[in-house]
Amino acid sequence: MAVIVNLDVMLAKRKMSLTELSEKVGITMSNLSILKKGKAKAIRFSTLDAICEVLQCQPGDILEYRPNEK
Amino acid sequence: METRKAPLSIRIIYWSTNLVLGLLSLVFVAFIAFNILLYTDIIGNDIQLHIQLPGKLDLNETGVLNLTDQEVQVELVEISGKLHFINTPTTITKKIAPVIMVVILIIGYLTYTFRTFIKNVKNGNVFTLTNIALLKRIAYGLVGYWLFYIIYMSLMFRWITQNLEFESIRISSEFSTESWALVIALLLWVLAHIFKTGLELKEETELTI
Repeated sequence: MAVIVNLDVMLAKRKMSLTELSEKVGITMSNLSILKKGKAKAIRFSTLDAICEVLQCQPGDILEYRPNEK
Repeated sequence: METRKAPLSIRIIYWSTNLVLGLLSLVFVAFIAFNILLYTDIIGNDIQLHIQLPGKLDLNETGVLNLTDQEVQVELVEISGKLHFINTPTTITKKIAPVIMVVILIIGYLTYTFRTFIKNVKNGNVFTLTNIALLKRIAYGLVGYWLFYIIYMSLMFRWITQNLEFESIRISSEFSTESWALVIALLLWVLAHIFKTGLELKEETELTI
């Protein structure tokens, strides 16, 4: 997929675990894991808003567009 | 996760299908026994066999239809019927009995597949790959039944109509094509595609964080 989720990078920068983020954002670990692994098909604005608020970052820090290599 | 109870209609269909499947199994076992017994001396030439006539009967019988305020002259021109073999010779029974067994087998297979499908729906597993495959399997089964029916009826048509003699009735040149089976098969095929779209939407919803 062309859009890459850099959630693990941001978590490492903030020295935060996925469990901690899950508790603060109110999203289950399994859903956050799907997002982290890049298996999610879509992300709600409310989810993005909550993650950005907790991680003190911009949506662009979590999502990155990389063109597919042919 | 809270499990939701299936609607009453689904449960009624499920239990009715179970009942039909049970009865079909009994009939199938009975027919196997009957087919075996045909090759012994236990069954003689006195079986009262009834078979569906492959064609419509052409006749011309006039009558009166009594309505509340008037009488209407009517004519009976085309009817469908069954042929009763009085004291059927075993040579004929041996030809017809396996065919009936195949029909029971096809109907049994379709009922079993439908039962599996409705059981999945009852358990809340609606939009799944299994259900899509089951719906397609029922559709193919119905097409198979239709083909078998057409071949059987055309053979019966040749066999019976050419040798059947009555004084005032004759068998029409048209025979029933059971086209309802094809229509249902087509509808099920469409339903399978609807389920496929449903599955894609379900996966998208589940993978939306």
